[in-house]
Parts: sequence; C-alpha cells; structure tokens
Amino acid sequence: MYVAVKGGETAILNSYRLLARARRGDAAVPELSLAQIKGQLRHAVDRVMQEGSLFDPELAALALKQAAGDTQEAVFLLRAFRTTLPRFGYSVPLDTAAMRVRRRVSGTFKDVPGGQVLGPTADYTQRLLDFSLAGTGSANLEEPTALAEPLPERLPCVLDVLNREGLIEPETPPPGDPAPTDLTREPLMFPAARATRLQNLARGDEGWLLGLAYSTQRGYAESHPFAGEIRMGEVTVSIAPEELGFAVDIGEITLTECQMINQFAGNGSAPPQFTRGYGLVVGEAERKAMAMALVDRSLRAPELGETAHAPAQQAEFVLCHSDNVEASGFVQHLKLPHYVDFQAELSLLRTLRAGFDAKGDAQ
Amino acid sequence: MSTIDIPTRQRWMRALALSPRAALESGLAPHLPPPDACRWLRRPQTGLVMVEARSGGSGARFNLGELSVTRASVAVGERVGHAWIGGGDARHAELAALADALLQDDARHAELMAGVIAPLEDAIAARRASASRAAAASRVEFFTMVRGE
Amino acid sequence: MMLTAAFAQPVDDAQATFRTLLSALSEPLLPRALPVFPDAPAGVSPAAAALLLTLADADTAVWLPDGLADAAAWLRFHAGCVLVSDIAVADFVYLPQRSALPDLPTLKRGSADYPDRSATLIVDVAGFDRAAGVTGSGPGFAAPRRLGIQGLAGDFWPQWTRANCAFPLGIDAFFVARDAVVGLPRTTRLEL
Repeated sequence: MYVAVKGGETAILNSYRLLARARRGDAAVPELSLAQIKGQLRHAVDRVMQEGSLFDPELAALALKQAAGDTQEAVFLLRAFRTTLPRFGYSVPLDTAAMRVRRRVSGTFKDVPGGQVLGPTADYTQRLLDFSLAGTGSANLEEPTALAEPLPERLPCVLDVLNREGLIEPETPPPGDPAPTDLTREPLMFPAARATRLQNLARGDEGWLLGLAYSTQRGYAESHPFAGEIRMGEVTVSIAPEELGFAVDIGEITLTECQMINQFAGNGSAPPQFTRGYGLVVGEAERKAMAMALVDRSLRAPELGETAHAPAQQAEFVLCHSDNVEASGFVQHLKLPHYVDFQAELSLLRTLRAGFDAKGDAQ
Repeated sequence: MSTIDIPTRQRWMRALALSPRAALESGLAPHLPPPDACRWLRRPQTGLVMVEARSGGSGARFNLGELSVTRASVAVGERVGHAWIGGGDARHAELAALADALLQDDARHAELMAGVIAPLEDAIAARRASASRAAAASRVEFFTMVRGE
Repeated sequence: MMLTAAFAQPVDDAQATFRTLLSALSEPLLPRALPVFPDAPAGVSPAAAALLLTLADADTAVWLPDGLADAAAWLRFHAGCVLVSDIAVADFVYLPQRSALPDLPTLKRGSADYPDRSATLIVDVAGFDRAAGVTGSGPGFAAPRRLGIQGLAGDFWPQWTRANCAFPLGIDAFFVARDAVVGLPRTTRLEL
C-alpha cells in the first residue's frame, strides 16, 4: 500500500529542470535532430515502435530523444501518446509474401528459389570496433557494385517448398476468417488463442523473448528449430474505408518476418511433419523476429499435444510478463511512498525480534 | 457522376499515398482549386489503424500493431475527394484529398493522370527498382563442402 | 446523396459535449444546455447528432431506425462506427421523435461481470417540463427531482422499468430536446 503525500512542488519543478539539462548534455555539442535519430539509430527507433506497438518513426524518434535513449521509457511515452489518438479501424491483413525484399536468408535450404539475399546485415562483419566512425565525415560509403537485374517482384517463400510435399503443417485461415481479439481493446484472457499470443509477443519486450527463446534451445522445451526463412523489406498497408467501399494502399512499412520450422513426431490425428513458429515485427529486427517465432512455437505445445512443463511453454507465465510497460511500472512503483505499509512491517518485526531476544535470554 | 472505375481510382490513390508530400506539392501546384471552391467535410485528422497480419503469413489473422494514419475529405464542386495516408502529415492528406476530387472530374482526369500521377508512379517504380537492385547485389550462392567422401 | 460536414472542430467540440454528458449523467433529470451543434443529416436533430458524434466510434455499434439512410452514411463517415440492424447488439440506440419504440428489455443490458457492456438510448423528445412528470432520487440527487419528458412513446416508462429490473444490469438514456440534454442512468429510482 502506498499513500499520497503532499508538498515538494518546488523540488519536483526543479527535478524537471535538472532532467532537461541532463538530457541536453553539453550545450557546446550540437543538439540531436529527429532526422538524425531516425536515419542513424534506426534499430533503436524500430524497437521503440515494436514495443510501443505504434508504427510511426517520427514519434518514436521524438520519444527516444525525450527519454535520452532509454528505450523502455520511450516505449512508455509512445504508448501514452497513442491513447490520445482516435482509432480509425483495421487494415486489410498484410500480404508478407509480396514483401519487397531487401534481405532474405534460409538456414534450411542452400538453393532457395530466388537465392539468398544478405542485405544490410552485420552478420558477416568481424564485430571489431570501427574507429573510423569515431569522427564525423569519415564514413566510407561505397555504392554496392551494380547488378542490372532487380530481384523478382515476389520472392518465393521457402516454406512453400515443404508445403508442396505436404511435409509441413499447412497454414490457412480458419473457417470464416474471423477477426482476432485486440489486446488494445480486450484484456488478456486464458486460454489465449494463437492470434492473441502473437499480438502479445509482437509488442513484447525483446529481452524477455530472447531469454525465453534461448531457454527453449538449452533444453527447457523439446524444441529443435530451424530458421526456414527470414525476410526483411517493405510491405504495403491497405485499408478499406467505409466511405469508399474498396481497399486503398495507404503506405509502406518495413517488416522482418521469421518462419521457424520445428520437428513434430505427430500424434493421433496429425502425421509426423514439420510444425511452424512465426515471428513478425516492424522494422529491421531479426533477433526479435526469431525469438518471437521460437516462443510462438513453444507456446503451441498444448494444442499439439506436447507436455508443457518448461517456462517458455506456459502461456500465462510468458504472456503476463512480456509487456515492459506493465513490468517496468510494477517494478518501479516500489519507489512510491510505502511509508505506512513499511511502518507496519517495522513494528511487526520489532515485536518478533523482542520475542526472539526474550527467548534467547531465557535459555 | 464520374465515369472512372474503381481500379483506376485505387491506382491514383496509391500513387498519392506512397509519394513524398513534396512531390505532391510541386506536381499539384498548378492544378489546385482556390480555397473558397473547397468544402472540407473532414479536415486532416491523425489517428490509428490497427495493422493485421496472418500467422505464418497465410493463416489466422492477428493484430500486429497500430499505424499512424492521417485522413481528410473535401468536396470540390460536385466531387468528393478522400485521402488516407500513412503517417502524421496533415498537408499530405489535404493534397491527396484535393487531388482525389480533381481526378474524378472527367474534364481534367486525363491531364492530371498524365501530368501528375504518372510521374509519381514512375518515381515510386524507380525507387523500388533501385532498392531491389541494391539488394540483388548482395545475393549469394553458398557452396557446401562435400564431407566424408 | 451529398455528405454534410459534422463538428467544425471535431476534437474540441466532442470533448465539450462529452463533458456536458458527464454532468448530465451525474445529476440525472436535470436539463443542461449542449455547448455546440454540428451540421446534422436529414432525420437527426442537431442535438442528437452532437451526442452520436461524441459517443460513437469504431468500437461501438449503433442502431438507427429504418429510413435514415443519409444519417447512416453520415455517421459511418464521421464517427466510423458500425451500424447494426440487430438492436440486441447495439451499444447506442437512436430514437427520433415519433419513432416506434423498440422492445427495450431486448436491448443489451450487460452481464454480471460487465454490466457496463450495455446499450444507451439517445431519444429525441419534444421538450422538458420541470414542474411535472416523473420524480427521481438516488445517486446524483440531493433531494428528489421532478421532470416531465414530453413526447415520449406511451409505453416508454413501463418498458424502461422492465429493462432495468435486474440492477446492476440495465440500460441508460439521454433525452434531447432542441439545445438541451437530460441524462437518466439506471441507478435513478423513479416514481412514475
């Protein structure tokens, strides 16, 4: 229990001033612009958009600037802002197969149709600190060697190869293609449908998902995953406004998609086949998409008839602790005045201690 | 009533939404009606659209996250123009709504398609082709070493 | 059909109206002046139009009587709400003056867990008379208060009583006449 306290207004106003000065840092150094943050810290912006669950690079960059680079604080700012905006509706479901791919790799097939496309990845760097970046104006920006042929408009999906052989579970809309639960409108309830879980994971904390995904690989869940396909690029968003009565394209968003393939021995009703774990996140965020796909698959244990004994297989444990706005709020609320509460504990402890000491003296 | 079909209208609305605002501003400048000829049914307003995706790319629908969207609607004479634009740029939505109204006017349609929409589409196609060519420059063939033979 | 505009300042006007509606519900049966009126479509009073624009959005289902096609298109456009033909799933039910009274107990009355997931009526009436009519008491009344609501359907009060016989389940209502609104939550005890 915490109680309201009064007073301290001047101190609070001065804490605002100190915060603003600390944010700005040395005034002799030029101030960051939002264009710089958007253009040069794109992964930070992407992460704020993912966990803030609002795709708006301009606002995410502003939140990062205001939060002085504290990702979770920026996520909180974005979540708070979105509550001030009206909801216009829902998009037409994205067609990720039509992604204009800038990167596409597969860990399962060497010769994927359309080829492996590395794109802007750090995977093949030596992870040595590049001191040429320490200054400004020294970056070496060579153009990629020009290739005459662009990629095909629709790069074939890797899993379709397995699908054609019937060796992977099909992924088709359920009858009636129902609208999913929306966690921004409905509370999280259990058992949670896969669609609900995917929404929760897509906005979940990357560190949380990464740790859980890692746990499934270390043996806390029978999981033997392969990265069937990872693709990153731009996808068109369409909506069908009421007044038009037809769908229109309204913009493009950058997405990273991960299709994990997992072994499945089969059960009474399903033959032995590969099963799927799915990760989809806004921006360039391969690590998060992969972690999401692993956790999606581990959470499917009950519906696939597997025993769910590992933490990453337990939906309530995973989904109730994935939101870093909730988590950070509850952890940090301990800073609020618990004075009365603590006084009660203190007097209880003094009583117990007095009893303990009296018993000791008696012996 | 205009004789223009839905696919054509979808085509120009896509071009207006996917182009940068500056390109609309310069392309439309000579064509914009005077302000007193426009009746704003809905001034530019920014809100949220929940973006849906599908599990596994093709399965059940799920909610991925929200996108900032700005919309506007304007009546120019008898024609009502609508705009829905990703992002928070009010002027972009205003220009797109005005263009949508003007493009429905049979008398001006051909001129605007050729003079405004076609160049926007060309720029989008060029931007996409350039990104695709750059990505294709990083396409690899991996060679697996044969083991154990 | 030509679409008409709505609130001149959509956000400010809806907020001002919402504030008035909160006051109207917190002191039931006390008429209050609405602050601002939108362009309204044919068949909907400006006051009811203000309430619909303020309360309806993409997450609410609205029921309109037959014959209000212009109003339906206007509401879809400006509020983005879902219009339903099944009154039992509606969050808001609009009744213009002299329209037939639907069977009120069939409206959504919420559940024991969520009594708030219920319908709210928006009713156009002829006028209010503070010297006659029903007497209310309960939350929001320092003392019992009378109000005559003129132009209601003859069986309105018996139906209202039946719809609200299972408190906390029930329905709530706003009545509008010209520039005034009156709130009537289910918590009000009525002497008819």
